[in-house]
Amino acid sequence: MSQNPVSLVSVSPPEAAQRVSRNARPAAPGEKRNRYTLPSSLQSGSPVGYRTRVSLTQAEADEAALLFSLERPRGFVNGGPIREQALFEEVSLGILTARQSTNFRGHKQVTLGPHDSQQIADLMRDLDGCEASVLDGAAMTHVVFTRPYRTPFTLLLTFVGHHMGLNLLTVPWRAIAKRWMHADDIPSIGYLQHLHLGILADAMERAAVIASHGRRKAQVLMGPFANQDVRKTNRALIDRIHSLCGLSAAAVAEGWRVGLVAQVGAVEQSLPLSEATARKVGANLMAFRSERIQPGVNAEESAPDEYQHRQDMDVPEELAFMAARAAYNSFTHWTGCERDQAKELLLMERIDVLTDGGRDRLRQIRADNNGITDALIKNLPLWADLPMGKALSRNANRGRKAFALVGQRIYIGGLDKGQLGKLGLDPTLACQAIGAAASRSAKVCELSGCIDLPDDCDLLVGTCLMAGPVNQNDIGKQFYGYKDLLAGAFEAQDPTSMMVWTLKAKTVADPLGNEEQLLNRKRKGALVDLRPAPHEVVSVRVDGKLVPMRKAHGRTNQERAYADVGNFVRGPNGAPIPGNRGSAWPADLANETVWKETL
Amino acid sequence: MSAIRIEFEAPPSTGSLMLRAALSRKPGLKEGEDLPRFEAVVNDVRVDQLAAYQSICGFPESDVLPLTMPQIVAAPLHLAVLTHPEFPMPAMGMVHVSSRIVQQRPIHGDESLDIFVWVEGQRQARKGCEADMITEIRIDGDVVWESVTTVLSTAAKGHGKKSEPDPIPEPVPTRSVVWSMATDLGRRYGTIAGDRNPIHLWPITAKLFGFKRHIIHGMWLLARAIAELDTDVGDGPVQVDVAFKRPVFLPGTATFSAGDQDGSIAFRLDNPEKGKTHLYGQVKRLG
Repeated sequence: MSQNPVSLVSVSPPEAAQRVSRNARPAAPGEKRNRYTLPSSLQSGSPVGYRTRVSLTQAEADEAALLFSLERPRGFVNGGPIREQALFEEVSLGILTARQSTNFRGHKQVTLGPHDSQQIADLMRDLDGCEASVLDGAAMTHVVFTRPYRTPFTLLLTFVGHHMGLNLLTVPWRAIAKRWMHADDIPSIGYLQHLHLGILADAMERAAVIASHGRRKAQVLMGPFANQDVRKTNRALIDRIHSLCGLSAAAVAEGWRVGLVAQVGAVEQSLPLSEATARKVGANLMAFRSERIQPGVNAEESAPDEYQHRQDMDVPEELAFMAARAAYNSFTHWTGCERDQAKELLLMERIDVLTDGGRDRLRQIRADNNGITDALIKNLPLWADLPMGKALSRNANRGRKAFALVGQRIYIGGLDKGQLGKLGLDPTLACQAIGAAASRSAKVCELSGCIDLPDDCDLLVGTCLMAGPVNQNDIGKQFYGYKDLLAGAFEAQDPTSMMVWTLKAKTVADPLGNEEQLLNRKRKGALVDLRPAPHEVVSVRVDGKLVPMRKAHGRTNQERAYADVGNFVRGPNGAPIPGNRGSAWPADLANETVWKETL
Repeated sequence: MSAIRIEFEAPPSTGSLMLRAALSRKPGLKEGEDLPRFEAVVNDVRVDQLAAYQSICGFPESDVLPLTMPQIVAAPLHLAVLTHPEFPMPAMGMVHVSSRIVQQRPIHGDESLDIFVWVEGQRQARKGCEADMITEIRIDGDVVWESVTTVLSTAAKGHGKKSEPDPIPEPVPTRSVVWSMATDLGRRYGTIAGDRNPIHLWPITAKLFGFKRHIIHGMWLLARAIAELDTDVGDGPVQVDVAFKRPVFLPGTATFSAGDQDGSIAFRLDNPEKGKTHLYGQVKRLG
């Protein structure tokens, strides 16, 4: 099950005349702000802020490449106590930034000290379904809770796909089933919870290494909590984990449950990752999280000049190869299957938009998804849509852009569930592994796009992980007789598509206004800031009590992680965005040892 | 006129002094009149409310007094001077325009403080006159903390000349953060600091004194700034200078930024929407 080494591959920038970068400025007094203007300020407790990518040398990239084929730790050694600052940096790279959907916050975490870690390790050993050994001597353990994916989009789904004559009965029934039994309207909505957890698991494994400069590793275990059957078997022990971590009955009723346990500890042989490189990588991971890159979709008529440029750049074949290798590494790692099996199980259709066949395929997907949207709108119950001022149909229409597929290379990933069953693999764990695989390959591309990054470029490669096109296709599959997105490419199998990732070589970052929408309730009240402050999603168990992280003395976190690297978005003449730089957490508190106890 | 000296055995109650300030009617300084020397003294003062002060200003819990806290420990003496029957200017309506604080060493919460406050003379300003209130805090005879609090009174004739404003520092920020201040912040801080000036409490009480809404105490802003600066201030001898330019209305937000400038840490607080500066200053490590 060992993973193949991954290299980060540099991308050639276009010739100087074709290089463009985001040349945003704040709106002038009285000027209407749009998504292309810089935000006037940032008030956020998140470690992210508005960040820029940091150029890596090829040597630094070679050093960082080990992060994409990390093996599980075999044991932990005593690495000394954990400082609060180290914990902050690790959770900043983990739960505080692992990408979820644009408007959903579905994870929270309890972090346990050495004694509690031993207690949970003892519990874990009795669980069925652990995919790897439970280790002793962890310096800390992160327990992550997850809940079903519910957003305004899933609210809309409540009204989708009903029979005209029965919808007065079936809509309320579906709403009840969704609220109280956590039933999903369509299967791919259920997959999102697993995909997000897989993305987080992969990020947490890297986070432990980056935050400790290679001294600590994480043993992340998801198997005992994956599918419903194994959870049923483990129920009594899972209840004890919930109780240890203070998960209330009310939270369980809302759908929260333990999703993964990450044991973190020092390893005997440190990984060869220097502090300087680790900090640059950490700062870059913050930058990746500070943007939603949707390659190409910002090239609309009203966009500023820099978004209209055609650039003679392409993703090198070698990078695409390494991205795929990282994906297979990840899938193998998280499912425990053999590498050859991974190649059969992980179904991937590659659409190369620069070819005629690729363009046709893309057109076909767009046409199908638009057809599904049309059918969906036509089929919406008027008794619900009209009193809401047609908000449902408007929202469905608005979704077309979210489901658009733009890029140079587009990959649709999925699984054949029948095949999984034959091999005895847990389909939930495999779905989580798809999320991890997509995320890992995207990180390979994004970090590769930082190698020798010229000053006049924001980036060299943009990636976007999307579930929207899959969800839209799934609506068609469930209600309107459409075939799966992967059906054409894998005719002999029974594929279920789960995720799409797009890849484009480009030098201009997306407008920051896209992100501001998520941070400014006045601009888009419906959206939730996905970039939580530590105290909002992380609690630390100290002396038997759960303490929200970085909430003390009337203050909450304002520190941006890896701020020392200085990669903050600036306006014209280097003017900073007020509030963007953040402010370091008081040193007395940041230097404190989180748990005084040692094992 | 000889100095007027007030000696206390314990810090006076600020409540009654506030009431006296609100009720007194004073004519202000007449032309050619000088502010005589007023002194106030209290010894063996023990600090209380340390944890509450640290919490409301954002300092980590510690047995060391935040750099700004001695100012509120000495505040009853300031008020005693300003409300003394012989003090010619009305305390109400005085505006805190700037401060200098010099601390020689950290003060621990269990130390006994001897506090000496005085004010003498004034200088003409554009819209009135300014006076410097000096505070000295000694421990075992050594001066460990001193401050110069400059207040502006409009109850005197100003020179009316517009002077060039001091340049506001624009450091490359190593800290930049937006503060949110709740509507009840002035009331909560006032309870801890013993400063329940109506302009800090409610919109309606502030309107009585010409403000459109209630405002937060300048000393809270300075304390919050020092808390934000954290290790930039350090434990050694330090000097802080601050100029208060515009009040911060409650509830409100303000952008704090700070960074190195000419060997000091320069800081400022701006309105995030209008860009106007509320205060600016610098922290200089001494020695």
